[in-house]
Amino acid sequence: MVLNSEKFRLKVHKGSGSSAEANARGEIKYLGNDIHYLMEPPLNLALRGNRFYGSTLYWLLLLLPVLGFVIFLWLYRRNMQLRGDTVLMQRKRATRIAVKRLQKAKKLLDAGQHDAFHEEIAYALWGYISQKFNVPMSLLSLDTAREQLQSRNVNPELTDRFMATLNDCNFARYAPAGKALNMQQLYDLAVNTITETEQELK
Amino acid sequence: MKCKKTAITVATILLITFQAFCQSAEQLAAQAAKEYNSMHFGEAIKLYEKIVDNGFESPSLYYNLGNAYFRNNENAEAILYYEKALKLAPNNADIKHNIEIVNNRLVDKVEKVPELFYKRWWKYLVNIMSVDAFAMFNISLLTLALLLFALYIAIPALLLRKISFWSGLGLLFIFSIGLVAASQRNHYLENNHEAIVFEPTVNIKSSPDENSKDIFVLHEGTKVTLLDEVAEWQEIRISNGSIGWIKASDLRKI
Repeated sequence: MVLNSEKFRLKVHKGSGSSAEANARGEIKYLGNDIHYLMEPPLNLALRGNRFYGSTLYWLLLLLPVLGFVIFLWLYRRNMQLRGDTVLMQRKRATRIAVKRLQKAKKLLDAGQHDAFHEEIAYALWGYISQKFNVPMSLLSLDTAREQLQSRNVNPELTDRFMATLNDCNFARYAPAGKALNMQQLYDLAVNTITETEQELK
Repeated sequence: MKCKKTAITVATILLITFQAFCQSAEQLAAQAAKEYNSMHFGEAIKLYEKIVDNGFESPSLYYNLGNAYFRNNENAEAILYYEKALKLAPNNADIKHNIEIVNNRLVDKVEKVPELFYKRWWKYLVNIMSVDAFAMFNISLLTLALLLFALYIAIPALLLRKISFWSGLGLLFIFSIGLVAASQRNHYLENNHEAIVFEPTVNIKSSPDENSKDIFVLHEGTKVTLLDEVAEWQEIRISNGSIGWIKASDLRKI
């Protein structure tokens, strides 16, 4: 069955020609242009020709770090020299002290004082290495002494002899009399090794 | 001791006077802005000019004065002060915008010759800071570089030594660039390199002589670069590269 209704008359008017969406994202239309407004106070006024750049203060401030650097260099060099000098002085003193100790040992030898003599020879040898190579006594052992001599390019044979002398000295100190080298021999050995090492190191 | 006291007193008095001086200048500027807002541009111009006459300068002062001149329909003056402002603050967008606006109202439309890229870069670098900012920057860079060199000398650790040496060298390099940039910028500020034409119409001559040939015509408000000077004549170049002679009295230097 079909029901017939009345006719609907539709009248469509012409639209604006663009969809709503296109309208929303259009280019901005400029109506005119004008200068921007005044800058807000404060205007940060400065006197003309009164610049920090090129002023005396500027050059002084620029010179200051340079001056500081030069002073630093001077102080640093002087410091190094002083430190270098003390090491050098100690080396020179090492020889002198060794000589003195050996002289004292000679007197003890003549006086026949066994223990004191051995002690003095030991001091002479160990003290020599300690001060010559700037190593504290407490860090010295036969091994470190050998290392020091080797690192200074003392010839191996002499190094061995130095070690042997140190050994002999220790042995003579603590071994019963008679079994060790006699005092004169030990004395000569000590004098020779120190003298030769001294020549090598020069 | 007494001398020192007197010196301090004098310095304090000078400082206070200077501060008062600046304050009164700022007050004048506030008054000028008020006049500007109530459309009394002539009054605003007078007040701003008074501040300039008192020996002050600042980008905002010149910019505001340029605005007042523009509103008063004096385009050449407006351009002159905008350019003065731009000279002090080359990267300011407001100043650039307003210059553009005034340029659109001028008679002469001069096409600019584009600059070579490295010249543009260098210009950008030079304009990145004010001269005084460059001065502070250079001092700090030099101090830092020398500190690093001191470290390099004093430190025994190899890696630290290497780092401090090369970074010190790098800073020293930047410092030298900063030194050149600052001196260039200072030279630009201290000397008048550009001017604005202040005659409604001027014939630009081929040589510094009234009877020489006319090459082209310039109008009020056009910016020119200054070259040679012979007696009352000034050789100029416009931004499209053309060169000619004009009477110096027809120009006002930026």
